[in-house]
Amino acid sequence: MIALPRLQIEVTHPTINIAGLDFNVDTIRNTLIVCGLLLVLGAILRSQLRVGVPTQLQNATEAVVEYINNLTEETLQGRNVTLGPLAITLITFLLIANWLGLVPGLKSPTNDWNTTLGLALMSFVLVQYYSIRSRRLGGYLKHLLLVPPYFPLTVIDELAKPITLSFRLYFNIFVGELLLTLIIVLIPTWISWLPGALWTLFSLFIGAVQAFIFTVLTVSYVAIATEVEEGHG
Amino acid sequence: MERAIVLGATVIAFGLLLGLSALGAGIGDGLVSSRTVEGTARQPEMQGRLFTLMVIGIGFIEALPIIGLGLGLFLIFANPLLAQITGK
Repeated sequence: MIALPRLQIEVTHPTINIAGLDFNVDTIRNTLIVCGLLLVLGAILRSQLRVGVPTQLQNATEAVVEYINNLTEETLQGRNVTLGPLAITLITFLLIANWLGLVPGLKSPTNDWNTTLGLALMSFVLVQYYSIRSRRLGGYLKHLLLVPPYFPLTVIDELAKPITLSFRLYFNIFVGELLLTLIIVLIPTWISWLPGALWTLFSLFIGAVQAFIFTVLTVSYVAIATEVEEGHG
Repeated sequence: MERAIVLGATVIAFGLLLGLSALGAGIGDGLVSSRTVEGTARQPEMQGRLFTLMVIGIGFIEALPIIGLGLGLFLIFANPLLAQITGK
């Protein structure tokens, strides 16, 4: 009989209790690290800006910003909503946050459901706000209560959006890091670098895709919410 | 005895969870990629936009087996069913 090693895998976060609320210390620390990295990146970019011949860094940044801005504009065509800055902020934050967990010794802030749920709730509030703004309060209530039997379904639909949004991101990052730990623990050391390297490459891809999806979904939820219906709009 | 049954059932559940979700996601990924290749062959100038759409689609599809994998690992490593039996 093969004796499996007793596996002790850390899946809970160390917490401190302040005023009756539990705070996940590592998540807060890692979020601050991501914010610091973004600030440093912004400062470097700021110092590199030229009006004449742009530097390579400036070119690359402008290409990314323009791409996301165009994507947002295309999605929100003909609506009086500007989400470009928000989309760029979200995607840069999430990209660095998702990739932070691949640095040995660090964890992603997004491997905590609290982070992703917070971001998803932000997008939920944003969607409701723009929905009310574009349809007026009467139109918003009419949209919710249009056909009375469907009222619970509409509410569930609206509430399921932030939950699936947050779960998708959280599980992708969480499982990615957990599997990386498992590969190191379970596979013999002389070969564990191979699946480790492959999974790390895949995690890079997953992190980028999930950051992109979160951003695109937030924008397109707002686009759906601000759609002015023809007949009864 | 009960412990062994629960452990075995958990492992079988993990295998089914992982295998079926990977099967579904594999079919889904294949469909998305094949349609993207078809679209690119018909209209090569659309490749950029098609690729973006494909990546979004694959991201959606891949999320499901990964959520399944997360739940499966939870079953294996923090077995809530076993805790019911041992009463801990």
